[in-house]
Amino acid sequence: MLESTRTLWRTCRFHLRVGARLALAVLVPAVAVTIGVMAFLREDFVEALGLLLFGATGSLPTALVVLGSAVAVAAVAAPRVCAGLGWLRHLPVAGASQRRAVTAAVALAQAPWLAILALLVAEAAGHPGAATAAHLAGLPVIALAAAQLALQPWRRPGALPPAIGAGLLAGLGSWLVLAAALALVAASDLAAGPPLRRSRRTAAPAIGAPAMLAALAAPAPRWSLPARIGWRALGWGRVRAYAIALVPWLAANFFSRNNQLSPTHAARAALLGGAVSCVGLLATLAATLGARRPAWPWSRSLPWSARRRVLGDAVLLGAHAVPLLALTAAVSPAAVPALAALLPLLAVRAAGALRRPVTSRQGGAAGEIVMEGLLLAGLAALLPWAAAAMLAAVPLALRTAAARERRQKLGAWHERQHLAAGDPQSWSGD
Amino acid sequence: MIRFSGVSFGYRPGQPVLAEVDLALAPGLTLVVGRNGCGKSTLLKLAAGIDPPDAGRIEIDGHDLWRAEVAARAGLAYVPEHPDLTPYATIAEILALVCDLRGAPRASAAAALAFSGLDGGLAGRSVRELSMGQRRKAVLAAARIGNPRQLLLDEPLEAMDRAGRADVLAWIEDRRAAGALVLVASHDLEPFAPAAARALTVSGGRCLLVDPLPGDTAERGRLLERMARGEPPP
Repeated sequence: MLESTRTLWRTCRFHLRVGARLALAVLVPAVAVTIGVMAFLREDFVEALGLLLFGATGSLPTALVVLGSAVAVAAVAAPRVCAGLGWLRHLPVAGASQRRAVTAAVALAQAPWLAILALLVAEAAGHPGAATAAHLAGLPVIALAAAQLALQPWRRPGALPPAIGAGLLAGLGSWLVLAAALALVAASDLAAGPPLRRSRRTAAPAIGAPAMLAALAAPAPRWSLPARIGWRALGWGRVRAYAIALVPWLAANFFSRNNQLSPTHAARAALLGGAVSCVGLLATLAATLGARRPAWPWSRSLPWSARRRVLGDAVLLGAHAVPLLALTAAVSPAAVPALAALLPLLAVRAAGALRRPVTSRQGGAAGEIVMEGLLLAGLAALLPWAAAAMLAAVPLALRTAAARERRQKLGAWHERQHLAAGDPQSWSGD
Repeated sequence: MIRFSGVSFGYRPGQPVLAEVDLALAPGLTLVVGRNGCGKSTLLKLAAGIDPPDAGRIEIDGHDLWRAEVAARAGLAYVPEHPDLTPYATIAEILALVCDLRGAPRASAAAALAFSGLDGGLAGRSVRELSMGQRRKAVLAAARIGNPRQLLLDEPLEAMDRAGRADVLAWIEDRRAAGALVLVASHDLEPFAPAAARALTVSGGRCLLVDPLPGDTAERGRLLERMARGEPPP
């Protein structure tokens, strides 16, 4: 049975609404951050960036940067747009039509990022030979190609090369090349076919009772089980956390190398950079852990204390910051004792922030950790001896965090915090 | 023994689900009945130490649930209505954790898993790979570990096949006969009515306990039906 145009349009409209809602959700923070960053970086920097990316003659490396950024945004949007898609598949719409509609929705969800790129195009507009119109017209094509790339797991492998080619060509700022990019987007779409089933993790082979006993009697020490669960939940989120954490460390490193500092001031700069790195790492990890490892109400009925659960999380989070201690030591060994004394308090406070009272769906643990952590980092950099007092405050912080853990109302917590995406048991999960 | 003393609890300020509840539950089967949303599951969550009370105290075998957390929970097994297990753990890890915390040998986890009718191959799978029914069986398997003295079961027969229901009922009867305290919240009255020593319902934030239930089967059935509809016991 052929699909009617009306059915197709309704499918498309449904998915586009999802994409638009996603775009609206991030539009305000995206615009606010952009304005803030532009004000901070000053006009000449923004103009130079605009010229670099969207100047007169486009280059493949800059096109790659633009496409890469769009793919990153699309990759965040794709699982959210696709959540619940499995259930929709039972409706009388062809799979390819669903895929096209979803692709359009993921492209639309990138609108805030496209608006930022358009601002950079406008910055380059006044300069001689700037291909402003071609660059602006190329942005939606880049978004479409990025959406195709983000949805590649649902598409045939043959659809990948034309999508990459389209995304790169659309960023070159030439009308002729843009026409070729459009043709490649269409070619990629035709090559994609109906949505493929995403491969799930291979099921564990059936094992007999002896092997099952062996699995249960694994030599893992008892304390390590919650840590292993937390470790697995953090997953690739660690990469993002370390990437964020490296920024302040690099900044402190550059500052020390490019200024004539006394050994004391160099140590304090390294301490500040290292401490802010730790804060960034702990905040990102805690936010990831809070979303991916929802508080586990049933586990509270087991005979272990709130203090133990908090301590377990603090050790898990704090252990991740040890490499940052080593990096700080590489810049200034003198900064390490104070940073090592500060780290336990930061880790315990981060574990406590995971247990903050939740009053809405918005806001994670990261904000609280950053606010407190930056204050502590600044204090330690100004008065390194204060780090000793911070170390002494760890038991009190642990007690406070444990009390917070006890006060949590998990019955309400689960609904507000659980990230449904990725959980097949959730109505909205994919 | 589970004792509630002046316990109040609500999810939103000014809207208490339970208000100054005083309650003492002795060993034996206590059936918690009532209409949807009356507070049955909340009562079990509070007794299991999932949510802390806004006011008052809850004791299990004389240990305060929030001051002596480990001692109070040592013999407690809770089966929630929705098996909210962390999605990033495997079943084997969850059961091993329960064994360690309850001081039971890890071999008892394998036995519980087999008894719950879960395929052995599922032990290595993460929770998010399991169906809702399989998750429930995993939670029930966890509840069997270490022969707990207090069983708090929220709709334990929901989503169970016939064989599974029979197994669960036999296990409950076994634990009850061994002197355990069994608190069951269920809309399914018939399977539990004959063995129930007492019944409890929540209405307007108050707990209404009928202890003991009438010995006459017909009278007991009528009373439970009445309480399940949200009507106060006579």
